[in-house]
Amino acid sequence: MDTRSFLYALWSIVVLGLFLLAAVYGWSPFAEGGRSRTSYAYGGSGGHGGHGGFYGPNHK
Amino acid sequence: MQPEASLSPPPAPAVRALSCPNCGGTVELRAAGYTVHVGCQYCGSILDATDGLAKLVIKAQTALAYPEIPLGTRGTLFDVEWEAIGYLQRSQNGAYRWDEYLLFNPYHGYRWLVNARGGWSFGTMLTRVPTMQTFSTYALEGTSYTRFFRGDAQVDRVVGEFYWRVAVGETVKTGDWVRPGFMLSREANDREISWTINQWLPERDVVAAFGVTPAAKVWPPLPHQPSPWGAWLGKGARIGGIALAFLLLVSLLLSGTRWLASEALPVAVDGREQSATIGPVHLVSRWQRVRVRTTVPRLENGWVDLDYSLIDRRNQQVYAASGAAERYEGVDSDGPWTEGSRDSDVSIAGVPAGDYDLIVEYKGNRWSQNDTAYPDGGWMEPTNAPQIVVELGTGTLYAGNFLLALLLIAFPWFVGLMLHLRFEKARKEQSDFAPAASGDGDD
Repeated sequence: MDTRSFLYALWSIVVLGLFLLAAVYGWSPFAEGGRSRTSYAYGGSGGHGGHGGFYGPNHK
Repeated sequence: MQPEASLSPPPAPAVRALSCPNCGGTVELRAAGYTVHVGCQYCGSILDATDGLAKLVIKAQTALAYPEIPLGTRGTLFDVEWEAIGYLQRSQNGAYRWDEYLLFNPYHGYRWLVNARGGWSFGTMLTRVPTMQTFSTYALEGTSYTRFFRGDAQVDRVVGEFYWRVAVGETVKTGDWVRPGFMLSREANDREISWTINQWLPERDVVAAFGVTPAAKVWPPLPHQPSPWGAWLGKGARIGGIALAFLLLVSLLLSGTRWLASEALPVAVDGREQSATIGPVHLVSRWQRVRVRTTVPRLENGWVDLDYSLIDRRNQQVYAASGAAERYEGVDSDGPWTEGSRDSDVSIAGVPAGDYDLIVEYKGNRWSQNDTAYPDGGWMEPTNAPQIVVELGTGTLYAGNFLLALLLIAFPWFVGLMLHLRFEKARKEQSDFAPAASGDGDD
């Protein structure tokens, strides 16, 4: 295999590897939402709605 | 039978020396017995060497030529050792100069080493005449060659020995037909027509064989220079095709959404912000994409703001997203129109396994054409019982990831294709028969 083909094959493997890795982690740069920097108890819902306080099974 | 006692070394090439009648310099004959004319390397005079004596044919030329490959230099091309015995500098009536070296091997005869604009070709004289296929193509051994050049070639400088009566100013009619890697050249004068097949040589082969100095990139390419990307495109298509097939297969296996929860939520007709909780929802995969799809069935000329907070019950970690469903309709001079969608579909990336609650904050809105707030109830009329339907599901694959991977895999191949087309365009533009020049009366 010549160098150019080898590099292209390597590139394709890297892209496929990253695609599989993203699939395994359910990650995408195109996702509308993701992990917020703050937890619900201390900082609200990350700027989406302004909730405060603790939320979870305790008050259900 | 006993072998001979010892193997003697091969005989040294027979080199005969003649004295130039013009300058007295010693002229070496490396192909004695075959050589007809010799160009003196000291004064440039052309001598006749047919009968063993150097007879002056043409006295010293105006300027001497100094070939890049010194005559007498030996080099191996195609597993045969060749000796450079003659050098011609030729041109098209003084323009577009190129160099031709006559190579000689006593067992293989003569060959040409041609240097045009820094690019090299290895020429073999043909003993058969190519077949004319069409007006623009010739065939040799079943392979077609397309016409490329037509013109005159004259000899400007001569050094060394030649198998014909070469002379400065000698002019022939030329025609060239090409295919990638090869050029079929015809030279004709009043007495004869000769054909040569020129094979393009990578510069490294000539550097290794004759020690020439590497030249800069040949651009535009030689007429028969093969595209450096052409051969790779086929291999690249196979590699890229395998990668894309694998990508498609994996995508088919990973596609789809498993819906876990669905709930219809009423929309307040007064337009206030509302909040609802859906859950708990158990996410089983170690990591996943969470998809939240909201449908507003009766939405017309209005929108619903949507904020989602997916909260991990274990550690209160928030995974947030927002969206909107909006749809408008109306009538203008072109007729009725609609815009937008009654659905909002958002995804939350990288959510780990666990038990989650989804808090949905939403607010219904009506669009007013007259800048008056809610001139009528619209889609939020109480009789419509406005509501949103929120669905939550999990999956792994994003269409955006698939498209991105597709583009990244295909990108290098398309770059190669673009470079190949650029190369071919530049190559073909040199032709006397390029489409742009067809109206100049070439035919």
